[in-house]
Amino acid sequence: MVSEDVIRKLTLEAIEQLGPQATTTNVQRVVQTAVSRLESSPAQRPPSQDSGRIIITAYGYNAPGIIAAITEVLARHECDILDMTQKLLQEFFTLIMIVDITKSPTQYASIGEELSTLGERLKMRILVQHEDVFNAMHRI
Amino acid sequence: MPFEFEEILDTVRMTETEHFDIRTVTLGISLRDCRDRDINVTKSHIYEKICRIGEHHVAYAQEIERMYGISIANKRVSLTPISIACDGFETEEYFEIGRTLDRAADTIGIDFIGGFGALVQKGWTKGEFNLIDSIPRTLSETKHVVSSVNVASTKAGINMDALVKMAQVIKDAARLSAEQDSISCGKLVVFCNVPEDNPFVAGAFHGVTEPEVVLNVGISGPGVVLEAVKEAGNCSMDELAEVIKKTAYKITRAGALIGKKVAEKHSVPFGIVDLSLAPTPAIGDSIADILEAMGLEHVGAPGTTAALAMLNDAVKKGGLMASNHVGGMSGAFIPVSEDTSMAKAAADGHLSLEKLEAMTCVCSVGLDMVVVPGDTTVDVLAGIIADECAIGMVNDKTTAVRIIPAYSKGVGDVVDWGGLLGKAEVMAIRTISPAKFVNRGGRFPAPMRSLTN
Repeated sequence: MVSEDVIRKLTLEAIEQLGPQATTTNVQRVVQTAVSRLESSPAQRPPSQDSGRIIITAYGYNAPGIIAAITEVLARHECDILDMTQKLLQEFFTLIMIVDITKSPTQYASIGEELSTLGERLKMRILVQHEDVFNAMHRI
Repeated sequence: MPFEFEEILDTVRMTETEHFDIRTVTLGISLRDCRDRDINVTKSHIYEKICRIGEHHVAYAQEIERMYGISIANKRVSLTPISIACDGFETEEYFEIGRTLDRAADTIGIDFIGGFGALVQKGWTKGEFNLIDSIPRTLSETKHVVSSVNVASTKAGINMDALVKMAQVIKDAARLSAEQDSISCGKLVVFCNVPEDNPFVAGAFHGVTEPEVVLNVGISGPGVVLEAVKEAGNCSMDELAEVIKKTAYKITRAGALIGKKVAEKHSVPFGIVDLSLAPTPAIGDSIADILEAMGLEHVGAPGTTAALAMLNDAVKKGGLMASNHVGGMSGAFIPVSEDTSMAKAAADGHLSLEKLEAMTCVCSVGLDMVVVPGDTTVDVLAGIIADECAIGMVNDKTTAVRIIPAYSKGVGDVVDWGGLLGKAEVMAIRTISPAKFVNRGGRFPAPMRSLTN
């Protein structure tokens, strides 16, 4: 749902850009097109100008097939794995992946949910968090 | 990797094992345009506005929770003090407005709605007096409404008439909610120097200097600070303060981020982060535990006030750097029933009311969730509140009293409200009487401190 504030800003922009052509009908048309484009954007982007990067942390007891299972989900949703690192401490396994979901047609929430369910199946905890949290805490 | 392995685990550990969460995102809504001569029209304006603006509050918060993997424990709403937005009504009508707030809270699915209060530090209007009169019944017959009344400030002094009346209001509220262990008193705060943008209930309200709608956030990180203090081991005061400061920075940064994102979803301005360390009854989420990890045998030992002073100061320094707008209470909360170790220390006799009072000189809240015998007189309650107000007034800080004289219960009896309000034993307090003093009426003059020009 586009807010009133955004519509007002679009209207002012349109009036400025149309110049002498800024009749009521033209402005209305331009703003309506812009609004419907905004409202029908395919994937749920993180709000405002955030990157599409998320951090997936998976931890639990080691077993074969963990990485394969997780990467299968990501591949199916056209996510781009930027980096991956893991540590194995005796039987305890921690995996961290940096993933770019900008080109994914799937909504962020669905990817998160699917991985969370996968975690339950694999008896691991799989957390999906937007990278902003880590930026906020660990970078000034 | 743009981040170190350890940095990522650090953050993950905070939410997974150290109880870090966002305590509340509070949507502040102005009700200044809702008043009508007719009470029913007023009520309908209020109901409509809260529901319209707050409709998606819970949903937006849940979306942000999922995005960032940090849980937002509570979604709340705060309003313009009802006595200001709706001055001039009768007591019965204020009760009806209270019911309207309750209904609105139910409709949008939140647990507490703040603002059923007044700012009477210099005197009261007819409407304010009537609203205060309606508080005991309103709190006892609604589920979600919380109330706060400011009776003192550094600039105005202490309104003793209002203060004594609030002591009576507390007793009445205790009696009317006796069947639920006097829970109404847990929803009522008496303040000195109340902040106008506090996101934490029961003191939350939307000040008159605030914009139309605003989003404020309160974080909860005692568990994280506790682990950091434990890990710091046997270091010097300087190093300990540094550890606490850095931890406070990280958790406040996360809080500020979440607050901004929820505000963006609502398309409203982001207000402030309240830096307060707010405990919950969960094990490991306790301020008392932090004080004990800092080296006290039990909270209440000599040195407690000093330890709390250092903790509070370090939290503020770290938190201040982390957000461009800081406000609310921003200190350390010491609610007895809401902090399991604090309640235990009180029950075991280590923590007295006097020690708690000393602690309020250096932390931000005041005497909070203190349970006292049901037969405590109005005069003694007024004396306790007056002491807290004096501390706040003279030192130019916020202090408050949220005290529960548990109806028909005596020292050692347990009151248990479950959930965030927790449980505690009734504390013994001195009952020698300040009756003549507090009943003089009138107003304490403002202290020297108020002349800052």
